[in-house]
Amino acid sequence: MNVYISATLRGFFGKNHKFEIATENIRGVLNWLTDEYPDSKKILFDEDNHLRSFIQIYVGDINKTEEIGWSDPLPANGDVYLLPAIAGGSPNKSIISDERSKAISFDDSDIERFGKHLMLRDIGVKGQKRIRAAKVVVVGAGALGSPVIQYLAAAGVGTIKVVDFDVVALDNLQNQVLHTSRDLKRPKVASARDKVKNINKSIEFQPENAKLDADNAVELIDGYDLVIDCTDNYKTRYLINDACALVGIPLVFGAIYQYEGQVGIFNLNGGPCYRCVFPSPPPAGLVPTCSEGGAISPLPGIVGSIQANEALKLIIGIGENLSGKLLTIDSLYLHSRILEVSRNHKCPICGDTPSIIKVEDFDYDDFCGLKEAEEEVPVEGFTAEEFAQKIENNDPMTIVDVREPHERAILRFPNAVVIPIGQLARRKGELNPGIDTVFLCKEGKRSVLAINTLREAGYTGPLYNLKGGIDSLKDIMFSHEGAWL
Amino acid sequence: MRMSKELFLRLALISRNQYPNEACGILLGNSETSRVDTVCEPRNIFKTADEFEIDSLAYLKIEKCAEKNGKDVVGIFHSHPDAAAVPSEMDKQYMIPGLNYFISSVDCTGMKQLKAYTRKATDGEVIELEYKVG
Repeated sequence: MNVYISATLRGFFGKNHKFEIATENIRGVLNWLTDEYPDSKKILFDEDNHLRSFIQIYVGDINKTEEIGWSDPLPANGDVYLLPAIAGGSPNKSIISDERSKAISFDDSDIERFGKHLMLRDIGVKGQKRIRAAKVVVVGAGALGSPVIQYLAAAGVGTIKVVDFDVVALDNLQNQVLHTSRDLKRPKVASARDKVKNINKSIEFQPENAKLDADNAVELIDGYDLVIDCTDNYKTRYLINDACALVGIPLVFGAIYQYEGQVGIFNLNGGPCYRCVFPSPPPAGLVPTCSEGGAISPLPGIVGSIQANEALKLIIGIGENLSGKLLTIDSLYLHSRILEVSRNHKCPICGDTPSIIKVEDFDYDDFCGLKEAEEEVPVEGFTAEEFAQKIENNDPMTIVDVREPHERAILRFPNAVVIPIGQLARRKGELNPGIDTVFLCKEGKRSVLAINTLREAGYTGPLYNLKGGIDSLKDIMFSHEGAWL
Repeated sequence: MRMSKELFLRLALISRNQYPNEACGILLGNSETSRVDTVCEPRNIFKTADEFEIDSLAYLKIEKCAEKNGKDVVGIFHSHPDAAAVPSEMDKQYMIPGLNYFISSVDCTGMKQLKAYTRKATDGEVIELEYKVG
């Protein structure tokens, strides 16, 4: 039997390039070689006596590297070749270490379940193991959280923590596809848990029925690989960003408003954080949140699916991602673009000389520069009950509705004067400074803006805000009248 | 170890041409004088951005042809698209002791770095090697 030794391996066999060995199988060849050249044993085999990855054994053009075929009888005239395996790869770009993904094993049903991932060359078994090893925190089980949680579960993410303090309400069902009519009044994390367990009961689901705040933010995310921001308000976004920046966890950010959405990745390998891109939020009340501004039903499905896709790419370590970029999508006119964003060296949390060293609660108005004048007169207001009582008593007052026409179409407030905020200063003469004037909007935020506008315009009569807006009157004044559409 | 200037430029070119996939090649030269001057570019049978593999039988043909022409297999070359020119865990796993491994770091604008490594036969440690171009 002729045994050919590759030039790359000859050094371990006395520089011979060919041996004539009388044996019947591969095992005989290997035994003969390691007997003749004892030093070659630790080159060919590892500590567990397995052939090392860089060796390939061929008989003719048949690959016989696998140990299972080493006892097969060799054909009389077949030459044996000891060749190098020439292979390698780029360093792991995944956020999951090789050590952790190596500890994962799959059974037959996993192989069947994740078949469509396994057949993608860039994912394969290696990528699927990383997905299983990953530990992800989703903050918010609402509109964006719905697709994110379900796709992470379906893709096979091993550990999913969901943080949400809210319960399911009827108006959530328009775009929060995680929840159904049967889930009304249940905690959102409970219906999220049911959905995830129905998809794959082997997922470790960790429900946190709590509001993320400055005190618990770090504790909630520490030890996880990735955080996905699916919240609907600026304050929580800054808290999540700060916690992620301090603990060093990448953040997949998403936001929706009416017909538009944004997705970005922050805190990834020295990339920018949310504060680098948005140093301060818009003044309270100026930009309505999704709950006040509304959103078209499939929009969170689009934006949340992109967030889930970005998350999986970071976990698998493939493709390009949105770190240092901000994707904006306009679903109404089908425009999308990617804006380049960069790290701010003066950023208070991830800059060169950070001033924020722990997650701190902050005064939203102060933070966004709304609270500028000390002497500003605080806006007085009535609660829904007080307001209802005044109407009941027939107290003399002017009620001004500052909502948009399409909002008034949902519910007309009886006997209210309609004045859009933009026209208030010009039309202040229509108000009687001798009696109280009460401003109302949907949630009681724009009405504060209206009162301040009127004061700046020099109006001196008594002005009041309906705290909590028309929404707060829902159960007091309108529930029995069928006034809602 | 010395590498001819032509070969250095050639490795820079194939690194960039294969971007964003990994480029790979077999380096030929003279093992006595530690000079490397030629690269054979067999197909990367695992053509992705982060892995490469050369068919062993294709390698065998190169090795036999090189010997016929008085050349030696001196090393193996591959590129790391968008990543540093340091051996990954997978690279180390496939390093044959005593053979030279050249790794380039490359992005779409071209090769950033070319470094050489070897695994010591004695204790299996992977060390960086010095080389000169020219």
